[in-house]
Amino acid sequence: MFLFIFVALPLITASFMLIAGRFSRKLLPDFLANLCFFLLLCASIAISRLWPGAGQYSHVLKWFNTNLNIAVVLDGLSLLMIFTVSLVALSTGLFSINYMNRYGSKSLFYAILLVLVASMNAIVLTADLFTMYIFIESAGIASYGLVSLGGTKYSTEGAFKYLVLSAIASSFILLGIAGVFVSTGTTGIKEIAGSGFFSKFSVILFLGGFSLKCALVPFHAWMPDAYTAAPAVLPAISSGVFVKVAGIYAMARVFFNMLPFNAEVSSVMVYLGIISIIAGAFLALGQARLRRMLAYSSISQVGYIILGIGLGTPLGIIGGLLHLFNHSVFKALLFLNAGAVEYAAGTDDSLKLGGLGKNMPFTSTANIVGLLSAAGVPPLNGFWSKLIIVIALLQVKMFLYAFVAIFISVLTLWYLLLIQRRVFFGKVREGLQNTREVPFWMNFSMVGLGLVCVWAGVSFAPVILKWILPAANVLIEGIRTSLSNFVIGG
Amino acid sequence: MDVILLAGVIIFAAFAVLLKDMLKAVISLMISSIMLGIVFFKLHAPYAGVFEISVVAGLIMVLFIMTISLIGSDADVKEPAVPVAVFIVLFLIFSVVIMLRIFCLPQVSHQLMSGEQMRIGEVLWICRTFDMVGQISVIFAGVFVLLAVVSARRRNGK
Repeated sequence: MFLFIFVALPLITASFMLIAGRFSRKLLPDFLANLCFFLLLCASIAISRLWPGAGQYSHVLKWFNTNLNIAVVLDGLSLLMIFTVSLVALSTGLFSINYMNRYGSKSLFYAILLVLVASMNAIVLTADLFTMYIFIESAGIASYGLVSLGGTKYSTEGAFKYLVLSAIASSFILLGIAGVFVSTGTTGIKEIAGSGFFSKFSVILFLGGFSLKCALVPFHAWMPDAYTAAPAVLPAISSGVFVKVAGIYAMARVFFNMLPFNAEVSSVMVYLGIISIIAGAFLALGQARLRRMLAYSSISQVGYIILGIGLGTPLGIIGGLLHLFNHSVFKALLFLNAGAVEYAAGTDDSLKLGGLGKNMPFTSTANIVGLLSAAGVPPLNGFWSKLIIVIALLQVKMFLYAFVAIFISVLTLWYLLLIQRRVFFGKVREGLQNTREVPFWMNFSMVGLGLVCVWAGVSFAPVILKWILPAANVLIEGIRTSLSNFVIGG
Repeated sequence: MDVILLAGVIIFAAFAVLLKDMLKAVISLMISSIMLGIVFFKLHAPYAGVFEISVVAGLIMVLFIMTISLIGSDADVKEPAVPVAVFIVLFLIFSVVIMLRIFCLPQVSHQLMSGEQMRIGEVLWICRTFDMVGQISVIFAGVFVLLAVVSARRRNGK
């Protein structure tokens, strides 16, 4: 019952949000939503403390003496995702207290954000493929809503593009599920794994669908437009966690714990990963708008995660999952920074900005932490995950890929430092002399995420032992089962 | 009665294609897929029926309605009077048929629940409860997003 709280609490809070908005336009929605996110974060930490660290937990709820089949499953991987979702949700929620004042009804915004968080938690906790699909759709609908909140022609265009491409991804996933259901007669992940089902057709459909959801090249077209047009909190939570949950987590769950993981799937994931790393970084180079540049950078960083996980070696999986957590934190921070710059200066076009660091010291410092972490500079968190991925590549003798991973990391440092210099350093641009630091909650949120980047970097060993290793073990166990079935089956 | 259901599936699918008003076309598709779901259930394929109702009648409808609101084609569309009248009459008749069929549906043997006899509501509520929560979540998302789009348009004076 306790685990279902992660889905039920945000949904219940969302249902009260419109009523709350009638009584108080700002204060009550701000308080209720952030209280909910805070409770979810506390609950995820409490579970990690109480959780013995192995096995799965299924719950069957009772409703008026009737057993309801809500099978909620918790293992190391879902625990890591729940924690990450809760952390980023709280950060964006706190940031929105001041930031979303400019975007109309706050109660509606928080209601959509809460539905998005509930859906992401459900994707992570469900043990059923079809249920996962329904919540992916629910989260998708909430995301289109957040994009369209901008209310401009561009935000509508971005939302529409996102909706159309996402619908194509969903069709792929649904067809894949149909194929699995026709062959096995079930949509339960554990039952499908037990049946030993494997079909190349379903694998291709799932790969296409999930790659579109996590914007891997060449399925990335929706991301830059959607992220540029939306209020900054959407890219922060979408790039921070939604892409990871609906794309990477779902992909890992399907290919490691449901279908047998084999060399062909591994190769495709590695190719998609490396292409995304290269293309995303080079596309980010020429961008002047902060959020557009960060969107392309996200594509590149997601490539690192897929590359690590796709290798299928224990070290690769650990590196990939660590980078998943790290990227969630530093990319959410960078997008919130971009939002703060736009809030203060009225634009996020770096060509029209300059010298903001003098008037915005907190935003500038938080941005430096975020960019150094994204570029993989020690001792910040991004460094360790990239290092582990590079070592994992060297371990399997993929020297060229390791070189590319290091080279693109340097390139990332270059273009992010260029933006930092253009926006925050140098002389204050004309018309920006009166720019002020953003309000308290926006700073609080950015500084908090910056501190998490530093904490996860400095104490990376406990982070790996407590959060990453149990998650990696779930995927490694999946590969082990696939291999033993292959050996027994001949 | 099965013939009526199948006729309804075809008639409302045709309405979905022929009607110019997007919203009415979407409602037609929804009715068509609900009846198709009932047909699936009668043919002892409860999961196919539940998935049909969940995906096509629930999820995709929300997506269509959202798309209509995003592209702004919910403005007045001049529909000839005859199709509208036929649509309304048939809509009312088949709504009654659907209600009757849902309440009078026979119990089907559910192979995934060890041969237990179940009604369509029980399959939805007991076997696929988490999907129902998902549908509630989809409806919430759809309603909030529509309100947000309308509010954003009003704010920008469109």
